Amino acid sequence: MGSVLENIDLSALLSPETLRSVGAVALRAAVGLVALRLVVMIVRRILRRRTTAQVSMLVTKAISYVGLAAIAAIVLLEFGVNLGPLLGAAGIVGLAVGVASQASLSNMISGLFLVSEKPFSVGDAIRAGDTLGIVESIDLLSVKIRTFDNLFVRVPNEKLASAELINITRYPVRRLDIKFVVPFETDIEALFEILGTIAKSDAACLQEPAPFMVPDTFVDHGVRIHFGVWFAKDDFIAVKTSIYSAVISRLREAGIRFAMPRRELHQPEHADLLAPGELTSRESE
Amino acid sequence: MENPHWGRLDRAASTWRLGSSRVWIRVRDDEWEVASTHVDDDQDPDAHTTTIDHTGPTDAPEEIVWTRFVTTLDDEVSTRPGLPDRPVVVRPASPMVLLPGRWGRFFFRVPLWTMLISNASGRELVMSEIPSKALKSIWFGSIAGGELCYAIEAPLERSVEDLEVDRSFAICEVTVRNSSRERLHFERICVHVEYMSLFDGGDRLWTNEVRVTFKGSEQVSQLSFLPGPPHSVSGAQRVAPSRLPPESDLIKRSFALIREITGI
Repeated sequence: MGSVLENIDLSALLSPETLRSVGAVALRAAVGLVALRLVVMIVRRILRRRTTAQVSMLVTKAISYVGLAAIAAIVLLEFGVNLGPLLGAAGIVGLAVGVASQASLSNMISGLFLVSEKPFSVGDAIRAGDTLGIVESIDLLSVKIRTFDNLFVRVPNEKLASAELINITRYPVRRLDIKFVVPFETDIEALFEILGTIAKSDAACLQEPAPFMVPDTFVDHGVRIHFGVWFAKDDFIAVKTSIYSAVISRLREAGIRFAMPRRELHQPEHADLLAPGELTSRESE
Repeated sequence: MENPHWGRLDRAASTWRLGSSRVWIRVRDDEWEVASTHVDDDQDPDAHTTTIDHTGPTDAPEEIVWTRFVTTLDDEVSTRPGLPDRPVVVRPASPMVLLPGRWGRFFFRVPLWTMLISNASGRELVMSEIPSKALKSIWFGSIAGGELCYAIEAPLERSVEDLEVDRSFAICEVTVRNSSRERLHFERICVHVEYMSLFDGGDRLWTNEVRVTFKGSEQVSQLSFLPGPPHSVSGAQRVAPSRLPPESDLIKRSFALIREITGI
């Protein structure tokens, strides 16, 4: 180490010519950086009006990286560094890094697919696996989601690209489905009239498409009713709250009760002669 | 503006009734406080009384929420009528049929909105918009490609005389022409009131005249907004501009065909 330092000619390094050339290169690099920043700003402003936030982000980041690489190359050339061997070495290093970072590359490629396919945009509410929340950003490696209980979740792009994903807010209107069971003796027509009135009187429910009401299926203890109301996507909480409470209160007022699984135990006359556990049972409404 | 219901408000407290809306206004220094609610048409016999009263907001419910607008001490606040901020879908009681090559003129009423305007900065700033009637929302068109509108349960009348005079509504005249070779059988009509202005025709307020040309169920209808109210309304003055820049021709899907609704 000592011999290396001894071989460096400090007087030559600190000579006015060297300092001048270093200053000139630094100035060019600074101008290049400012110009690059300006270009990125202009491109971002142009893309903001014409495309989505994630496309804008990807394009500007790509311009930034390419620009920085170009400035670095110019600086090295100014210092007389031969870029040929460097690029060769960079290729080998890149290969090694690529092999070592397959997951990152996979995420980047998946990110490109997500941007081109546009299954969701920034601001959409999505459900990806167990995660439900608002998309905060779509980046090169991952998607950032803010859950409704205000947690920050980072989901790798690769996972999102290969998983089933539900975009909750893609369409402007949605349907809220409620399923409940009423006893077999319930007057279904009267019930549907009540449900229709509930949907009609609720300010947040859309009057059209008409509410969906159908006897879904018979279950052991009654008839399962499927009741669906349409609403504008922003009104989800309001509709869910008002419809659930209205269904409970209006059905109670009309004397219609929800059927619950119930078990009747029948005790034979000489139950005292039976061994424990021999009581008969049957399910009923 | 000749109509006493619209115009500059005094700095005294006011109570405003238009349709089923109730508005209370009070002034404190540079603040205008506004509260509003809607009454149920069925429960209030005076639901459609249109009055403005400067005796003070003494009857404002205690639990009502006041919105405070900070303006300037010399601010002038005025009211003017406005049209809904979304298209309206008229749902007549019975479906209408127009035979090929025929045309028909229809009239319906659009509920007005009260626009509270501040003029402090020399230009009109909308402080608050209060619908005269609580309108229900409706989706018009296909689930994926339709639009959110307001539903109007009103008859499509053939004569304006059949419509009750009510200052909380504007009259819209729509001329529908069936230029296709098929019967035009519709039970909904969507009117883009956001492109329309309001005109004072004396005892009634009018919107721009609308002309709709139906070219077939597979094609979109052509809508034309005429620059003024119908020709039959003479001397009408414009009292409110359109929310969106008017477009002379607008291609919109205007009819919900029976086929589309029922799937027949």
